[in-house]
Amino acid sequence: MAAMEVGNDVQEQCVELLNEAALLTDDVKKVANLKKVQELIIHQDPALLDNFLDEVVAFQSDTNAEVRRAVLGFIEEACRKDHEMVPKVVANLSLLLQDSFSVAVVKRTIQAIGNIYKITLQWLSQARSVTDLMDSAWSMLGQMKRQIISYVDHDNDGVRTMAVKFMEMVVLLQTYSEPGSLKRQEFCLDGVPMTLKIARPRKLEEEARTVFAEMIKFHGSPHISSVNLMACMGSLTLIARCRPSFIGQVISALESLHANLPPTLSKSQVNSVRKHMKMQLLNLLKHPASYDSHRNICTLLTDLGASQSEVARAMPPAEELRKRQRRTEEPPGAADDDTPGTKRQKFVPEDDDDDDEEVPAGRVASGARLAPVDKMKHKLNAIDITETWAAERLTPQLAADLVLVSMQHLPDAPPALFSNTFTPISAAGTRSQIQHVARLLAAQLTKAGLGPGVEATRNQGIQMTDHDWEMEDEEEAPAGSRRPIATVLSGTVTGREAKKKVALLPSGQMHKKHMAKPLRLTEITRPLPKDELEKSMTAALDRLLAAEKAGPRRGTVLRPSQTAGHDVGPLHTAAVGQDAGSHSGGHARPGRPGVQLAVRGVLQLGGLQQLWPGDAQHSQLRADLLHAHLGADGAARLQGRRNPADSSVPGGAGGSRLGRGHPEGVQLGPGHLPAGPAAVWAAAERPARPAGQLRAGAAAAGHGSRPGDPRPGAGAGAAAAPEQRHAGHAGRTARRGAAQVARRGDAAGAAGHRSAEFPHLTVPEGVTREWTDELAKLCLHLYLALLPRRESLIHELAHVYVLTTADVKRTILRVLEAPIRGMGMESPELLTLVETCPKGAETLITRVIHILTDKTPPSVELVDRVRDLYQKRVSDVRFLIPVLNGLNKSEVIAALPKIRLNPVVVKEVFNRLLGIHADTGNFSSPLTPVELLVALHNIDPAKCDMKTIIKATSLCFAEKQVYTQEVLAVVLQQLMEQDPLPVLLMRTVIQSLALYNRLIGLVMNILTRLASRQVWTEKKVWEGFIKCCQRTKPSSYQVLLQLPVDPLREVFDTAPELRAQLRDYVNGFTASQREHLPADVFELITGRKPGEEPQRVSPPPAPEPAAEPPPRLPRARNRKRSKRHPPSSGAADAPMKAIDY
Amino acid sequence: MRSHTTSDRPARSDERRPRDVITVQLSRVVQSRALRAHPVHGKKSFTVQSFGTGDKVKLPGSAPNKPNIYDFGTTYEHIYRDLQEKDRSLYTQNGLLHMLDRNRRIKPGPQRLQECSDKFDVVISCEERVYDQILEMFESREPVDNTPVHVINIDIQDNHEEATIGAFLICDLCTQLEDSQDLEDDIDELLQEFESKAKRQVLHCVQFY
Repeated sequence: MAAMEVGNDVQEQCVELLNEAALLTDDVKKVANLKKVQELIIHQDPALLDNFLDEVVAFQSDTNAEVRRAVLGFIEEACRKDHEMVPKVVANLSLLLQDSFSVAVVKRTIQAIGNIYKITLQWLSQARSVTDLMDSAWSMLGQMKRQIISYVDHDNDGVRTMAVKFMEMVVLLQTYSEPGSLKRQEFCLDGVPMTLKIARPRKLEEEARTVFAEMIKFHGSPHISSVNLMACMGSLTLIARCRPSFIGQVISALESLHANLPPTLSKSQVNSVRKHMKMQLLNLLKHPASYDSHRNICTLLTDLGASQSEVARAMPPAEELRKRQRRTEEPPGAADDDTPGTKRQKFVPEDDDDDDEEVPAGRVASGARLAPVDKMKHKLNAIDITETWAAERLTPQLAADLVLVSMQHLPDAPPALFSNTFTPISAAGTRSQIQHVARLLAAQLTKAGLGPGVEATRNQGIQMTDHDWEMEDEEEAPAGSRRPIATVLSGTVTGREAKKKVALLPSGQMHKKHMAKPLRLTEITRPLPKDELEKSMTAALDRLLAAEKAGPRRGTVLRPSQTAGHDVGPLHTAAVGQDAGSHSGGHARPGRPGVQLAVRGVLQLGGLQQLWPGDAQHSQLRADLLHAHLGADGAARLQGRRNPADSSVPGGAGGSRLGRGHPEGVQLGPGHLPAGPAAVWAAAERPARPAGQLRAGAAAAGHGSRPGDPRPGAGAGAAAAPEQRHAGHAGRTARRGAAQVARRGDAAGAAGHRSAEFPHLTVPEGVTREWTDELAKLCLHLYLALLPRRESLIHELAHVYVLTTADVKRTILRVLEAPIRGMGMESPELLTLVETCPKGAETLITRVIHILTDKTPPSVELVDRVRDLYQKRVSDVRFLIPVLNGLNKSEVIAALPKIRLNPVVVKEVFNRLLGIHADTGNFSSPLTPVELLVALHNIDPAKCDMKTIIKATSLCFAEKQVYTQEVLAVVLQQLMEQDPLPVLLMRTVIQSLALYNRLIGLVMNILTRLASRQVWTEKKVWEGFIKCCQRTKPSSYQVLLQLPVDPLREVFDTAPELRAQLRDYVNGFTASQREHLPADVFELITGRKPGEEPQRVSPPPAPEPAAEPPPRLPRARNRKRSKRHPPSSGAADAPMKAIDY
Repeated sequence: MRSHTTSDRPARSDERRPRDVITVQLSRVVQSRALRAHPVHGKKSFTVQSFGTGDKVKLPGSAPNKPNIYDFGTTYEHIYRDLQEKDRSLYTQNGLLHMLDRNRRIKPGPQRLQECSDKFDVVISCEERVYDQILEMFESREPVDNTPVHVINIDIQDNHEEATIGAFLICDLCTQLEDSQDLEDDIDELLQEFESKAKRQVLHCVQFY
């Protein structure tokens, strides 16, 4: 009785609350009321659920989204409380899922459906028998499930997120729990009996795998938003943790994500995503089942910047790992005996009394258990196979090649993403790092659908799907035969069911909702069949042409037709163009707007070749059309107006006919000149282009360029040439076309300067015949771009170079750098060019060689070619300069005297020889710095004037990085050993001394040695010797004292001040020291006999030097010397005969 | 509570690093569950709660290496009295007592996020370490009904000035988040805008209850 009262009380309360809610305008209160009702019914008196469900659910048509969400909360709770509620609310859910007014409601619905779906499956599994009601509810839920899964492409970010979570739920629900999975006390496939007809576990599991694959796909999609990505990542990890058989796939997904982060993410989003990924990986690492993937996880984690300790902390205890390892080593059957899967396998045949199902069920059960493993293996295999494959091939050579090849795809500046995510490679070159790189490559390759792994799995994959299909059929057939209301029909049943329930709701509102459903054009439209499309387009064209006849000749029609050309869209226009071709004969006359439209269409068609690739008919059509109608200059202008990139091949083709038929029609301004080549260029880009067009295009380019110079023609040929590589059938023609054009180009080039020969070619006003820098560049652009692809073209360039004017030559030399670099030193064509250098093209060749050898040492082949050229044909030392490094020592030394160019050149030579600007660390020069300087000293003065040599040595001294004290010491030593002494020896000695004071000891040594070698016999050196002594006093006194008396006198004659100083020096000697001096020397110095007392001579015999004035010493020189401080400066302008010290 | 007051100056409370003196607690957790309840007149009507994430409540003590440590569950009242007894002048000077005084009027004691069963729409942390802790907490839970929650981290240095600026920044962000009609769809954009406006790096991630 009391219970009844309570029940009544609750009921009354509910009625009151609901009535109030229905009248309330304040949504907040309404929601509050509904919540109260929910609380009352669900928790206080579930028996009332049945009574009030309809009333509460009726609020789902409320205008306020919050109210609708509250209803959903109620529905969810109601279903959780009482499974019987499910069939009553599925239709409502379906309506709410379509809610077009509030995304929040849709999201909430997805959330609710997720739970209800789970509940329903549980309900079905536990029910004794499946009623029709259950069946239809389930199939309707199935429909909604599919819809939600398709929402993964929804416009709304939040809906996508919820869809991902829903998918996660589906996957977890519809797979078997596995040993070692995260303990989740949740219902899953384990609880679904095999006998459940409407929800077969095997099919459910299959579906789960498809859904999982969808998730992986979504996870890897490049346009995914960061929120979705993180949600998806989280879901995948959760799945992996709950279902360890997915771990491998999840980890490869994460790997591939790590390597291909969506480019749309901002810097901080990248940070967040990486952080999230790190956390997910750490979570995975904690899971004992991830043991097999530990290596991959750890590498990924290291890449993500996780520290060793973090990784170590997340690792499961070693003991567990060992256990795990043991387990994997054991045969799977033995180890898995206690798994629920096998248990089920055992039970199923016993429990199942349905004779039809028994055998297949057993088979299926085992299949279902094995399938995931197998499938996973396939998927893993794809990356694994490719990984091993890549690892085998990843030699340093290949790695370098890969880097070089991909270098050109790199952007100029590192993107934020990269600088953000880059972590320096700590263990480069090790086995594990190679393996890691291979894995990364494999992930990329597999993603792109390449590599042996994909090949291997593709076949299996096809087999799999076929197999699946068969199974599906087999499944479908008995179900259909056994029960008339099969799944196919259940839609109708559900519909009826739904109508019944829908009747509970206020109908007007529902109607409104359906009306307001937003229109999605893509959903309701289908592409027209091709023939119908063509028919309608032909009709449209006919109408246009007819309108043109009727309307004024120019003006009104022209405009719409032009806009039509732009707006109708490429496909339509293309077809119009195509039709225009077939109609052209009958309808149109040149210069008419309609024709222009047609032309426009054709031109667009050119851009759409991929629609009908290789369709020769079309190209012929276009050519014909253009030939027929574009002869007039109006058409030519039309064509010219189009920008080069746009005009494509038909433009070229038209142009060619044009040119052939009406040469006077070629009125192409400088801006239009590259149109022809550009067209061919476009053609070359499309491998399927028919050959005829190429020829035509090439010819057109040739024609277009005729008024000026051959380069555009050559360019066209060049453009046609790479086509050979792409399409064999077009190759021959293209080559012929190229050759033809090239020939014509030659001729025209030769004639270029005598353009008077082409009086019939009218040049439009304002276009000069002069080759401006810009024009030349314009023409060269295409050609140069092609050079690296078609290297043989370089020969044309050389010929052209010889023929052109100085200005153009300069331009060519300037723009040459990039293409030549692109060709590289190994290019056989370049080598041939060097070998067969045409007369007049020496500067070009020199430039080429310079570009090639700039910063890199020359290759042997190149050096050989250049040497050959130098020795046999053109003895121009300029050739040798760039390859000096490649020559041997004697050759370099032989070449040195000939390099008497301006200091800049010499400096460059030295730079090359000394490797001053070479980037490479392992720079090798034929000459060491020492050898170079010694060689310079040994240049025969007869061959090269002294001034140049002095300048050269000065350059050496200027390179203080190279010519260090030690190097100079070695040089001096070597020079001193020579006989005869090099003329410049003493100059170098003095210079060295000026640079490095610490060489004084060595210099003294040298001076002593020279003194003993009778240095006074060699005039130049002797002069230098004296100078040196002057500079090095007082150290040099010792040396001077060693000289015999005659040379010493000479010294005093040249440098009188030395005498007094030396005398003072000798006077400081002790008696025994003096004894060592020869008497005559002593006398010369002191002016007295050795035995005399120095005090007496202490007043210096002043008249003596005066009495013997140095006769050979010019005053001017004396003054000059005194002015000069550093010996090296100003050496360049010194007179030649007298070496200036 | 009217969030007007709390969000303008987020409750400076709960837990702090031992070394840093006054202003910023380790984490501020913004609850805006009522966010959608007031979509129309919803200026600053979001509700805010603040939490700690560490194991203990740490407040600065007499020296950097001597923090005052309390268990979660201790009331502000208790802490207030305790500190008052220990060294009244010091804790008045460094503003701790003032803060505790204010906090005890707002809620009984420090709360720990991990122990809170409420569901939030947005959780904001002010330090990357805390952000990590929050994520870890969510990851260790099993999502039940998949209600999304956005975890956002804005690095705010632990000093007076930064905390004041940070408070305004967070308030600004909350207002924006709240004004959004569809948070899930807009949050990416909002955060990016916020990032460029505030010139701060923001970490963001979605988790599920």
